[in-house]
Amino acid sequence: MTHRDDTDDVIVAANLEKHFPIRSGFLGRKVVASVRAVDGVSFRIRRGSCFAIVGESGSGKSTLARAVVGLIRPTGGEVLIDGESVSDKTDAQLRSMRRKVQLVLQDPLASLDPRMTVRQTLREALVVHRLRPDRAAREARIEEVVRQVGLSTVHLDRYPNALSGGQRQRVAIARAVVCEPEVLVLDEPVSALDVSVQAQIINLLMELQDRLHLTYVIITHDLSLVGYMADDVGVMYLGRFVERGPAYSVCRMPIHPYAESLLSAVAGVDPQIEKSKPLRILRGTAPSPTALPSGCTFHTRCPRARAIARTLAVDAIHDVEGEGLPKICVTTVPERRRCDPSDVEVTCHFACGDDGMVSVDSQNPEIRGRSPQ
Amino acid sequence: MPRVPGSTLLLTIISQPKGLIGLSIVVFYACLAIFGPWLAPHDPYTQNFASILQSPSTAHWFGTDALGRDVFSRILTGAQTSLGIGVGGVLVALLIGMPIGVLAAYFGGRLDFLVMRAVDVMLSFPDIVFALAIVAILGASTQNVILAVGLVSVPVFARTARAVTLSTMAEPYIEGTVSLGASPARVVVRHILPNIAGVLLTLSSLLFASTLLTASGLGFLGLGAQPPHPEWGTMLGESRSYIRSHPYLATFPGLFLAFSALGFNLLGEALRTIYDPTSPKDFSYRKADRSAQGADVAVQPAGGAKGQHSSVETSDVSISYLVPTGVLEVVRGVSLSVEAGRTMAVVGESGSGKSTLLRAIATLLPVGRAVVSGGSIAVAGQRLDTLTPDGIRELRRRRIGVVFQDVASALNPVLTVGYQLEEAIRSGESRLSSKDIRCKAIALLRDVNISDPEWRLQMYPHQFSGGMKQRIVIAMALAQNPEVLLADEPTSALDVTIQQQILSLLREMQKARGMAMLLVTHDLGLVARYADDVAVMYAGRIVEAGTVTGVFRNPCHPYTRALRDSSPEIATRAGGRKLPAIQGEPPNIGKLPDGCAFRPRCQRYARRSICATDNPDLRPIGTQRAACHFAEEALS
Repeated sequence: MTHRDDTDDVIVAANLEKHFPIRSGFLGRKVVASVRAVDGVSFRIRRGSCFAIVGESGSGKSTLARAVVGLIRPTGGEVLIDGESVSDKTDAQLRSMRRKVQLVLQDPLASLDPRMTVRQTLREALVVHRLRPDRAAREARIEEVVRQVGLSTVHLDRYPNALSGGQRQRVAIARAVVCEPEVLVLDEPVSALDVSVQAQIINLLMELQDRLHLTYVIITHDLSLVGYMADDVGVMYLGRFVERGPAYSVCRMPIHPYAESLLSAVAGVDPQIEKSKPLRILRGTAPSPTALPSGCTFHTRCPRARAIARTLAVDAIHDVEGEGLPKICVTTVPERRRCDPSDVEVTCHFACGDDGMVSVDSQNPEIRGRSPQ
Repeated sequence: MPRVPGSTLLLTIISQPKGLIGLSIVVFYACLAIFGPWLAPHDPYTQNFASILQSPSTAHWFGTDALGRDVFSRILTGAQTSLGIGVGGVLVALLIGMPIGVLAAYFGGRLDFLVMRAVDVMLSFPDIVFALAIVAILGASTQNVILAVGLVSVPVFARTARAVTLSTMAEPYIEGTVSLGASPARVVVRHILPNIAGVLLTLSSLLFASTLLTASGLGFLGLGAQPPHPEWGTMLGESRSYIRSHPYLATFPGLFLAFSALGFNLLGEALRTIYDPTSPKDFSYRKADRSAQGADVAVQPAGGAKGQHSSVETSDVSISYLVPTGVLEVVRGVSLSVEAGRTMAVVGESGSGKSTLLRAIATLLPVGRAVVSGGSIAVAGQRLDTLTPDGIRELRRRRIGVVFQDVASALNPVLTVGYQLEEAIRSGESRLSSKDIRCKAIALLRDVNISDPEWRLQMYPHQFSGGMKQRIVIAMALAQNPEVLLADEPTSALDVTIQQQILSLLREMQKARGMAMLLVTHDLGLVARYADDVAVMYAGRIVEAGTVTGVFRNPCHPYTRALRDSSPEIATRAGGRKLPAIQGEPPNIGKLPDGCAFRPRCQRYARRSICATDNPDLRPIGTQRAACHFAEEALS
C-alpha cells in the first residue's frame, strides 16, 4: 500500500447496493421479491473526519454501515477501505481487515459477552489479531486503553453486569480501539444511555478521535448529535441518500423535505422556543422497502409536493386521500443535484430555489406546520 | 438470557426448595454410585440357594432374590451401572446433538434445513421403540444400551441447541465479536457455547430421568445389562415373575429408580427457573413483605382533603421492591399533584424511580414484588389504599388510561384490533349494543388519526407499524374517557418523525378531553415541547418541580441545570469545545450516599458539610420547588 497523506479518503463507497431476497416456495427456492435495504449509495469519507448516516428504522442505515465494515457482502457496487476493495476479499482476509474498521454498538450491555470480564474482552481483541503476543506487553496495552477510555484498572476484572451503562459503553469503545483501528463505526453510540451519561461518552469519543486520529462513521437518528459531532452527513430514506453534504449546512438549513422534518423533530430545551416553533409532522409511516413507491420514494409522505400542487399550476396526480401531487414526483425518480452555492446534494424535484420552493414554503400555512400548543 | 455467574449458581439452586431437594437427591445418588460396592454388606453375586426369596429381615434388609442374592447389596452395586447408563446416555446425546444443533444454527441455509428435517423424522418414533431397534441391531450389552438411549435423545438436544444458539446469535455481542475479526470457530467456542451451556445443562438434568427410565425399560425387557451383573432395570425385569408372591423384589429397585428420576427432575426444574427467562421466579420475600408493612404502619396517613381534588395526588409516597436480600426503596417520599387539563412530565434517568411511580399511580405495581411502603396516592379523588380490589378495578377501568413504551406487547397478537378495542369499550359500559360499541370503536380510531377505521378494525396487530400500534393503544386507553392518562415513555421505541406524531396526538387528546396527563420520559426536549409542568427525579426523590418554563429557564437544582446544559445543541460543531457533562455515574439505588444523593456528582457541593449529612427537603424557591440546600445560589 502506498503512503497516503492525512487528507485522503479512507472509505469510498461507490453505488453500493444490498438487496435481501425474499424466498418462498418449497425449500425456499423461489425469490419472490427483494428488500432493497441499500439501493445505490455513494460517498467518500476523509481520513480523520466524521461521517454521519442519518435515518429512521428501515432506512437501511444499519445495513449500509455493516456493508462498509464488511460484515455484509454488498450485492452491487463496491466499498474501498484504504484503497482496497472489500468485495473481492476472502473471509479470512476480511477478518484481518476488520482490525482497521471497528464497530461500536448501541446497547453496551447486549454487545458485551456477559461471561467475560473486561480484561478477557479486551484481551480477546488482541489475541484475535495476534497483536502484542508478549503477555506483559498485552497486559500493558489493555491497561493503557482502559485508562484512555476513562476507566481504571479496578474495572478490569469485573463482569459487564457489575458495570453501569456508561462504563459498559466505555468498555465497548475500549474493545474497539484496543487493536488500533483507523475507522470506528458507531451505531447509535449514546441512545441507550442515560441522559447525564450521554455527554460524557460524546466527549470521550471526540477526545479519542483527536488523540488517535480516528475516522468515525456514526449511524443515528438524532440530528443534534450529528450537528455536534459530524463533518459530513447523509440522510437516508428507504435505502438512498436524499440529502448529503456538510453537516453544518444540512443540520442548519436542510433542503430535502424529509431532512427538514427530521430537524424539526429535534427539540431543544427552551420551552418558550419549543412551544412556539412550528412543527413539521410527517404524515403516515415509511413504506415497506419491499414495495418502494414509484417516482420519488418520499412522495407518499411529502408535505412539500402537496403544497406545491395546491399553490402552483403543475400537472397533478391525486393520492388515495384525494390530495394533489405534482405528476413528476409520482412518475420520475429525482436525480441527485447540487443547489448552488452550497455543497449539498439533494434528491428532490423541487429542491432548489429556482423552482418556486421558497415562495411556496413561506406562503403556505400547512407547510409552516402547527405549533404543539 | 439471564446472566448467572458460576459461583452463585449453587447458591441460587439451593435457595429454592426444589433445587435443594433435587440437589440433595442427586448428590446422594452420586455417592451411592461411587461408594455403593464398598458399602454392600454381602457379595452381590454370591448365590445361596438355602435362602432364596426371603422377605426383608435384619440380615437381608431388602430380602433376597430367586437365586438367594442379597437385594440390598445388588441395589448398591447396581447403582453404578444404572446411573452410569443414564449419565452415559445423556453424554452421548449431548455430544452428538449439541454440535449438530449449533452448526445447523450457525451455518443455516440448506444444512439447517436438512438436519432439522432429519431430526423431525427421528422425533416421530417413540423413544423406546427406537432404542429397542438400536439394541436389537447392535446386540444387548451395557455399552449398546448407553448408545441406544443416547441416540434417542439426540433430536431433543439438537433442536434445543439450535434454538438457543439462534437466540444467542441474535445478541449484539456476537455481532460485535464478528466485527472484531474473530473466526467462526472462536465465536462458537468462546461466545456461543458458554452462553448456551446453562440451558443445555438444564436439559441434560431433565433428560437424565427419562434416559434412566428408557434404559430400565430395556433392562426390564432383558436387553440391558446382562445377568448376573446387577442393574436396577434388569432387577425389575427379573422380579416380574414374583411380583404377586414377593412384591418387595420389584419395590426396592423401583423406588430407587423413581427417586433418582425425581431428584434429577427437581434439579432440572430448579436450573430451568434460573436459565429460562420466562419461568416465574419466586423469591422468598415473605420476610421482606413483613418489614415493608411495618414501614407502612409507621407513616401516618396523609390528609386527603375532600371536595376539590387534583386528578392525581401523591403525598410522601415511598415504593419498595422486594428483593431476595430485603427491601429496596426506589421511590423515597414523592409528593406531586397533576391538575385536570394539564400535562406533567416526570423526568429522570434509569433508576430514578419515575416508571415505578407511574406504575403505582396506575395501580399496576407487580403484585408480590413491589409495595407502596409509605404515604398515599389518590387518583380522581379516591385514595388507592382505601379501595377494595373491586374498587381498584373500577378505577382502572373508568378513570385511568395507560400507555406504555413497549407497544408490541401491549396488544394481543392473536386477536383483531377491533376485538381488543371493543373489549376495552365494553368493559366499562356493558349496556351498549354491539352496534353502538362498533361505532364507538370507529370513532376512537378516527380520533387517533387512523384512516379507514372500519377496515382497520378487522386487522391483527402485526399488520400495523409501531406508530400505528401505539395509536391503537392510545385509543384503547381513551376508550373509557379517563380522567387521567398515564404515559410511560410512550414514544421511546418509535422513530423520531413518528414520535412527534404520537406526542402531538397525546397532547391534543389531553387538551380536547380536559384530562390530566402524566408523561414519564427521559427526553428534556419532548418535555419542553409538550408538557406544562415538570418534576425532575433523582434517586427516588423529586429534586425540582414547577412549570416547564420556570424549571427549564431557571433551574435551581444543580442536577436539572446540568441535565439541561449537557444536551448537544444542534448545528454547533464542537471544534474542541467539550459538552458540559455531569460527572460520575447515575446513583445506585440501595447504595446511596449519606445526605444529598446527588452530592458525589454535584458541582455546587464544594465540601460543605450539610450536603453530606442532611438530605435536603423539597422547598419553594421562587416560583418552583427544589431540593437543594443551596438552591438560592442559582438565583443570584
